[in-house]
Amino acid sequence: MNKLFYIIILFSFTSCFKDRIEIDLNQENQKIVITAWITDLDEPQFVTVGKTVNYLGPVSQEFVSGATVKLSNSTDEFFLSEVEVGRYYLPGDWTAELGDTYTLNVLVDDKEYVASHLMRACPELKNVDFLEYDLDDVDEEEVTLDSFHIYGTTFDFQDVIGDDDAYYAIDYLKGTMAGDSMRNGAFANDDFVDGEYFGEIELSEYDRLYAEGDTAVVELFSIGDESANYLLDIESEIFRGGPFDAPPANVRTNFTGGAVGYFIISGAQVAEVIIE
Amino acid sequence: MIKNMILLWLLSLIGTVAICQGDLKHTLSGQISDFKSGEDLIAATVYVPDLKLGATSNVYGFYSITLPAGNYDIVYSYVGCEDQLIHIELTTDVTQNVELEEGGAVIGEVVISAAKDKVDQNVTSTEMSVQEVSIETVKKLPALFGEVDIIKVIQLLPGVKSIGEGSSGFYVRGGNADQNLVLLDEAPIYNASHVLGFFSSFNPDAIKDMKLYKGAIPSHFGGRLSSVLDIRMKEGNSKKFAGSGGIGTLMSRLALEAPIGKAGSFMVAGRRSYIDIVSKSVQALRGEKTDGDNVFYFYDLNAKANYRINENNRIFASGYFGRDVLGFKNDDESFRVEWGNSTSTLRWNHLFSPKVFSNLTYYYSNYNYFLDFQEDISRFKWTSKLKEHSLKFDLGAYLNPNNTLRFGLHSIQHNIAPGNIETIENDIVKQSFDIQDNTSYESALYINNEQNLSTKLKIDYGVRLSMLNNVGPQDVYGLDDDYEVIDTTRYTGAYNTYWNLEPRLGVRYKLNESSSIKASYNRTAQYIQLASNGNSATPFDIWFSSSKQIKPQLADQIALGYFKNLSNNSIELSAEVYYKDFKNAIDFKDHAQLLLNDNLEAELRIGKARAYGLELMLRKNQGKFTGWISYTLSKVEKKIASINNDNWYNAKYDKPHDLSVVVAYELNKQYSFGSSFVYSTGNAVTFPTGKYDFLGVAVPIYSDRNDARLPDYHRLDFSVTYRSKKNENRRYKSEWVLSVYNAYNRRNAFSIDFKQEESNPNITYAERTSIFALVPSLTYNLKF
Repeated sequence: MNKLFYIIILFSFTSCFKDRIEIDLNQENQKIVITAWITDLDEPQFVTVGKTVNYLGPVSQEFVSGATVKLSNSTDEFFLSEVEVGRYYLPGDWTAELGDTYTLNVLVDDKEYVASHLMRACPELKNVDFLEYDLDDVDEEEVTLDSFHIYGTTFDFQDVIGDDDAYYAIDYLKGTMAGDSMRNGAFANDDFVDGEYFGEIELSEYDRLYAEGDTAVVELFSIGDESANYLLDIESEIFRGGPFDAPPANVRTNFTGGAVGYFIISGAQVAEVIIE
Repeated sequence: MIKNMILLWLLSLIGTVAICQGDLKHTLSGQISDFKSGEDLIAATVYVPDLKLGATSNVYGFYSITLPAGNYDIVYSYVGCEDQLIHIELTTDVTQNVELEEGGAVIGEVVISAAKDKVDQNVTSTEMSVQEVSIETVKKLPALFGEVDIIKVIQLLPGVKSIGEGSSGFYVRGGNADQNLVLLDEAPIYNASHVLGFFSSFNPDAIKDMKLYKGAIPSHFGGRLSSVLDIRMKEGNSKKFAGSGGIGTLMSRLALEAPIGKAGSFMVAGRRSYIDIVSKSVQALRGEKTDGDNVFYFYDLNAKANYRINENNRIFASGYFGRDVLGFKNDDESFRVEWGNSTSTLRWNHLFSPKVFSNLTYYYSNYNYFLDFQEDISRFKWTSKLKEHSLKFDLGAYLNPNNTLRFGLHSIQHNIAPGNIETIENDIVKQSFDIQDNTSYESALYINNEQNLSTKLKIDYGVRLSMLNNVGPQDVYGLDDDYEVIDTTRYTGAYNTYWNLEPRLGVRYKLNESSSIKASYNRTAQYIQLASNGNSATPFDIWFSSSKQIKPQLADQIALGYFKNLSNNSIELSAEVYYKDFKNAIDFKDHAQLLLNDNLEAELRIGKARAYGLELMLRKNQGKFTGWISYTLSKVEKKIASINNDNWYNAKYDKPHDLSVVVAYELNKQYSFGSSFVYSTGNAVTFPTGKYDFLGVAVPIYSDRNDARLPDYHRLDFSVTYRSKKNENRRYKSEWVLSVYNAYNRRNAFSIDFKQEESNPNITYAERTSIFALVPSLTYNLKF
């Protein structure tokens, strides 16, 4: 009887499973995609213009060449140059006006798409540091580093008093693009914690920890509530699978004219820490 | 014109009563109960063969029938019990209490009558779109994890759908899950499930009877658009101390009942799961490390007592308390989540005369949850609750065999505290966020008459006048066309009122002794609804009432049916078609933020919906072999402003084809078998058509809402029950039940999601999640 009981328990608790299946989806009716995340960091700033592609198709994106792209604020306007196919860069002498609202105009095949966004100042990154993780706390399957000592990054910052603030933060290994994905970033708004000091925020995930000698880069962006909601929309769509998920829905866009994508412009802070 | 018609109707009723009195009529009334346990029998039949007249007992077992003075043979019958024929000399009003026995012997002067004469309600009643399944039948059927669940059996009935594997939620004739009024001893249960929906809140050992109204909803019920599930707890054995219980794979249960003196009885039943203990055992069997501080369990308690003060007065007190607990704790951090319902009901039955039965009910219902996270010195607490107080006075006047009048009034106070959040450090509250409480009063007056116009034609007509009052103090947001707040107004006292007239009509025309056609129309209004946007309801969904911005939802339903009994009433056949039109239907905008939102109105979108379908049912209720086959062909669509480009779209619970085959077979006294097979169209879902890249992730693009389907769903379950031969000679009777859920191990899709390959994020693939494969379970039941 005991054996029967255990067999039943084992059956019962090993029931839930996932598997990869083949499925036919409808063809996409292509739309213009404009993605732009412009910051005040000293690095090339660009806007990408493309078209949506079939969801399960082999192509990840399709670029559009020959668009006219203009960024303007209350005092200036700048036309962006197409340096690569579908990528339009701001002039090197462009400087951000914090607190100003910027408008992005994109003209494709005589159709104009427009979006605006407030450029917010970013709070200072403070106490950027690292901490060693206890190996006992880390699931061995998640650790990719071949080391007995593994580390993550931490930092502090002071939230700006006032509503509608939100932040995006990410860390990555210096000199590589590894980890430069929204999947590895984190974002939050200050709805319940307005004006608070945030201390010892841990960013690193167990699947991309650092080893001794690495230099980690930490970036913080002041994106505002509206862009945080855009990221939240994306997050809710790409991490589906829970029983309580809301119905699938298109993520928001701030472009007029039927384009998808989003225009973000934000103050940013960057800092480095050497793991030693 | 209308005034004249009402006057004519009143005159006809008064005239009928006057004629009754003039013809020296007398009333036969009394209580019908079970011989062994003393439980009241609901819907037992009282039939007068000489006059071809009948009546049925109400939910308290009371019956009343007024006949001309004379001598009559009266047949009392109830499904599963031997009929009793009692000779009555009706020269004055007579009280005749009757006890019916399951396949029992002759009692006193009572003789067994032939079943063929008894009134068959499937054909003769005006009721249509109503389903009943006895709790004994429920216990014969296979169950997930061996846990008998009345809601899962309801899902096997025509017109009732489920959308999640193993889920206890149900959808009736195109209505959302929150459009079902689930009553336990008249008190609403706001979250009728445990373990995030896998088990219902109803302990089968505590339940006596259940009835599901899918349409033709009587006027004494209101407040929900689509159905009423009326569940009654046992009164308790008034003859002897008795008990029942069981030990299953995931939970154990025990129910005890006993008399209270000679005029009352009580029942107490409890369940407690041990999912956490079992899962730790499984981890241990797998050789995995266990964490001793995890908890995950639920429990519930049902209790009821009744006492007959005298022939004319009886009181009842009943209650339900159920709770789910989930949490973990270690040295640095902890979290604990709890949710649950509690209800208490007090009722007073009073007989004003043998013809006038009254019931006064007070109930209190409470649903609440909290989350408590703690890390070092910081703590986060989130609480939410809904409370209801209600008073209902219901009168039944059995005017004569051709008219049964029912009327009353009902008032409910809804008090909703949607959410309070506190962040705490070192036991000092640092920040508090409180979504304002909401109070409203829902009231109704109703009247209904069931009238025989001829031996063939019977009508059931009534009306319900319902009303909602929003009461302050309340800040009400004014919204512009883009749902942005443009102003805020502070109200105190009653500041907003809605009222609706809800006509109810049912007609039966008897074609012959074994068949009839029926038609019904009803309007229903709903003033309180659930803010739930997921595929499954969560314990953290909140209810909200109609308000200045949210008009009450309305539904008009018409239904037409053909009813036929075969083989001496042992087989019932029914075919119904219905059309339902929803007004002020709600849905939520894309990416709606429903939790902790003090401006929920801005997340709602209003429109209309329609549902229509055909329901077929073939059912065998008697004999060794019982069961039913049900098939539903249906459609439900919505058209809501700003959703799906303002076009019609399938509701998520639109499943056009739905087939259930349910059988139970009693081989002998030792062995019985149960099986069910279900097949349905896959759930309506939304799949992406396109994508674009943003920061390394594939952002999906969707076309129409719910225009795709999950693969078709089908599943076979079976159970074998073994009872020891020793049961016949001992008071303690036991049985083993082996259940197998999903016997052929079908991998039904709970959901299909899309993922990017980790090694190559440019490649996206579809991933199917299945909840249950083949699930065997073993349950030990005992009864004494």
